[in-house]
Amino acid sequence: MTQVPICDVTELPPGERKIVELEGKSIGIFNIDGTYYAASNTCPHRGGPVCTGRIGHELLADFVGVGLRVKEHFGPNLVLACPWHGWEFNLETGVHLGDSRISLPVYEVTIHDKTLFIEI
Amino acid sequence: MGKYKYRVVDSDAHYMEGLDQLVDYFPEPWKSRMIGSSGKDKASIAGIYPISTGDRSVFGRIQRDEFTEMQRNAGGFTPEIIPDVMEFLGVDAINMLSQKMLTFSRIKGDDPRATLLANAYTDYMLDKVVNPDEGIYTMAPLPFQEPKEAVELIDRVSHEKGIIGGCFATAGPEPPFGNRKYDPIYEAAEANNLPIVFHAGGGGIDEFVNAGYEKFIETHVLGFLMANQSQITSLVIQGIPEKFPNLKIVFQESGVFWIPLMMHRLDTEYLKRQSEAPLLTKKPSEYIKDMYFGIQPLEVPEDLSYLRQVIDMIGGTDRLLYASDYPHWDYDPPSAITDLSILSEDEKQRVLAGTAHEVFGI
Ligand code: FES
Repeated sequence: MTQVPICDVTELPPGERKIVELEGKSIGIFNIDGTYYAASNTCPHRGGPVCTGRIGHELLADFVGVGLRVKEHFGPNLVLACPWHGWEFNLETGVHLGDSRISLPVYEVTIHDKTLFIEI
Repeated sequence: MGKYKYRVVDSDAHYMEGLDQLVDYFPEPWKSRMIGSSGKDKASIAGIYPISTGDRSVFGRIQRDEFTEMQRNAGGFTPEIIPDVMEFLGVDAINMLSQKMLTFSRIKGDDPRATLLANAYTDYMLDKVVNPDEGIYTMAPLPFQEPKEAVELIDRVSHEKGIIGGCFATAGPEPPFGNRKYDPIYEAAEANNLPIVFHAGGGGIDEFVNAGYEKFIETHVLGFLMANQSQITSLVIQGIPEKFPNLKIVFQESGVFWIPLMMHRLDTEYLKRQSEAPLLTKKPSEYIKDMYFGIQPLEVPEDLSYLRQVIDMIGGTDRLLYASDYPHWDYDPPSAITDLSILSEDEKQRVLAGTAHEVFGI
């Protein structure tokens, strides 16, 4: 494991993302409301640029009663959707929402002296 | 034990009642309507029997001489015929399902006939046909068009020893069976520990997806299959097994090769569109592996290892129920299973009777 410097924190403000090449790997780094996430930009499905995809919340549903329409709502987990075919991954853990045996590598992001590092 | 060295339970044979046998079980004014309606073909009385392309017997090629003989001895298709059918097939117990109730799906309007037929048939079967001591059982056909009435029927008869399931005809219900409209039926079935059997049927297959097929082989190959495919898709994606986790679900009469197709196709799309099935907590195939399937009409490829792979893909012989479909044109005798070299003795016994015991308690 090595800490690789990415950029100055000011270069990745909230709501922004950056795709970088590190040791031959394409990696996406995200700032979501001040929390940083990093994940492989190579989708485990067909290699699509997953980190360019939409970030949203996991869609959940509750069975609220016999004969009633299921109640859909968004849960707290952030998810990243691959733009190629829609596979969705928990942004924090990298686990595929539909199959826990599939996951996207995720990396820890740290800050030292106002510089963002990724541990790879 | 009869012909075979195994216990054999037939999970799906058909009772070929004439509607004239049911007349006394209809309330008025329907009783009078039935008696007064025209035509020798009693099946036309209620006007629900499907007219299919071609001829089920391939224009006389498929014959049931033994069945004709049985009917001659019993004076038609009467309850007395059943021991002969059981002896002919070599089965120790039999689940007889009405021939005509499989046509329910043709009833689309605000029409009382589905409920009337379901109740009359069930009462007739309980009164004249089922005999658990002799291994003769039936299922209550469920009028899915009227969920409240279907629940009433379940509550009324599911304590009867002779009623071992509730049956849905899968050809053409609108909306399909995963819809919340049917929740009360599943709730009642689960509460009464009554398995729900989704049974492909002839009613409506000619119009299924697109009309215009010419030959019966086309409508039968596709219709029976697509009816079950459409319902299993709806059930799984709408999360019926999540809503009613103790409900036993059985599919009948589409063979077995379609099952892994649906498992893999559903899984592949689920990984891409999981947010459209938010009640699911596991992949669609895993729900399907909790369901049960009648084997008939069993596809037997030249290379039997393919069939073995299919059985392994769906979770093994624990999922399979021997079903004859007798006397229908494509019935499978128990030898469809006993002859299979790819099954162990235990697996044969499981399919022939063990799974039926687990599902139906018989
Ligand atoms: S490549 Fe990412 S979903 Fe297909």
